[in-house]
Amino acid sequence: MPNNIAMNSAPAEKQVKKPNFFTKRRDYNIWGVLVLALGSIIMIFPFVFAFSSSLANNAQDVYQMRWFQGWNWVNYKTVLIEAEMFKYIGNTLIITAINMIGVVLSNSFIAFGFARYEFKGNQAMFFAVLCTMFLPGTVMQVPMFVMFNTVGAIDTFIPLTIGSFFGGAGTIFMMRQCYKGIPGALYEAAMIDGAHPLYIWARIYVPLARGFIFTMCLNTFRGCWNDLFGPLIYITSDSKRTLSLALANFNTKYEASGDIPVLMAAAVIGMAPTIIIFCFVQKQFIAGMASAAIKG
Amino acid sequence: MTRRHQNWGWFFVSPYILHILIFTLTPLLISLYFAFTRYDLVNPPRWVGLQNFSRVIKADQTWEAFRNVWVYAFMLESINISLACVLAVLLNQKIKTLSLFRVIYYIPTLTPMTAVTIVWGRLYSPKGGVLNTILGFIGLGPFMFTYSEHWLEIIAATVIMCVWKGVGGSTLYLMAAVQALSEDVMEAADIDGASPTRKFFKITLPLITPTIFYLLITGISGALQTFEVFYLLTQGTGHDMYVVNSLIYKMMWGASSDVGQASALGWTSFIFIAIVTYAQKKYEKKWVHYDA
Repeated sequence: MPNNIAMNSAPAEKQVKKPNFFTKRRDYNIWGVLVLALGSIIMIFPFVFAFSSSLANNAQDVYQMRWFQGWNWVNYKTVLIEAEMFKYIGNTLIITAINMIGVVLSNSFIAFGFARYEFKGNQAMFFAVLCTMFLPGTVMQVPMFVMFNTVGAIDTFIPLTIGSFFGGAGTIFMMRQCYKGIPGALYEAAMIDGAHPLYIWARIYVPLARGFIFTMCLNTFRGCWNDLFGPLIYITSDSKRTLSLALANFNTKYEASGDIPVLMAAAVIGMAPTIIIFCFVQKQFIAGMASAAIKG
Repeated sequence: MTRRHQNWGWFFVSPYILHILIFTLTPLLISLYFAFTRYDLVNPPRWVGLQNFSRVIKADQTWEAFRNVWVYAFMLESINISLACVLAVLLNQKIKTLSLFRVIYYIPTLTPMTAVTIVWGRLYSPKGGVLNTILGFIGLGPFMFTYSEHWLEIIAATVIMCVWKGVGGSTLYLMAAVQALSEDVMEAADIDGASPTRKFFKITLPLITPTIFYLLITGISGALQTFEVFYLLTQGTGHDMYVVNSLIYKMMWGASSDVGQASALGWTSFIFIAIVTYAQKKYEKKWVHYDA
């Protein structure tokens, strides 16, 4: 009898050590969670360090890890007003905005052609797109600079923005997957009703792909905000510097002077916007990235 | 739909045709031409044959730069991807609080390298830097990290920082791959009494090899072209530490512009990257499973 066996073995079970925190049966692995928790402390540590240092009184407090001793918000004022970080943030925002418009318009446009039309050469063209994806930038930087130099576009925002209006291979690839997921019958129905292809693209397909377009915008924002190499080679005058470039110069300038708290305040200003935006939209963003990863 | 109607496709893809013509083919051809000339952006280019390539190949600095970037790339990607595999599996357990962890691990990937190096520069600083203080508690160090004179120590310190910054990105991709695995396989393994470690190595890992392969190919070719992190971390430390792209930067945007030599080095680097990518593609069949 199963019941009897269970009852008989009951006293024996009592002798088994009572499960403690680590041996208790769970539907997850407690060691795994502890490892993750420890790891996340390491991940967070530099941010806490940066934030507390940016409010510190002097470099000594930073190095001896006397955290959150002072609340010198004046360090931020020094960075924004005296070091004119406002100006650099403004430049970065202008470049970012232009790039976002370019990226959204061009990629949603180009990918539509690849996804919805079976024109002769579609396959060959798409193969060309994939090839450009694997072309290393190393070999392109020098001639691009010479080209922009020849047309006199150095020290303007043109080299940093114009490329986005002609599409990017990776984004086209993922945008095409996204359009392919939208039923083709929609297109045919709209065409029979006499809609122009441009109208179908702008009014039917782009709105339906807005989830992916949103992810695209965020990625562009992050890319422009964090880019150093482009501004470093194309921007020469101080008034046109971007935030990232200004921070790179800051590092050399303030490390020598030893004003670590101001330097850290600058770093926090550089890191904060993307993190704050991400925290607000992280659900959509992670979902968008993940679906792109699976489809790609 | 009619044949003529399909030609709207050309209209839609036309911006990318321009992209290929203006931003891909023209620069490639120009660069190939420059690689065989002497050109300083002021005087007109002069044909010098293979001289640029021989100068590049003969310089010790070139091979040091290649050694540095190769060691960096392989160290970074092997640590990055193996750590990301473990994290992806751990983060995929079904508990509510894990979504917070997912966010935390991803946050460093959002931050600009310029700001990251400012912070890590202070953590690494040999003059009472925070990491040395912490390691001192457990009796280790002191280390010089990126301020060291030894190339391997600089690279190791750089790799640690880059893993911190980049592991969240690879984890996100691998997590998507782990989530896409069918539950049946895992349940079957559970019923057979497989341990978590065994399940990880015998089931999960083989099934996510396509994603690992994708991350490896893009990661290695990206890391071989690294520039920002070495430029930022070693500027001002007094030790010149070059990777290939910072050597190109110095030739092109340093005190004087040597377009020819910079192009020649760019092509040399391109050839190596192409070989690595091809080799990875060739050995793909040996370990990547697409039949899941």
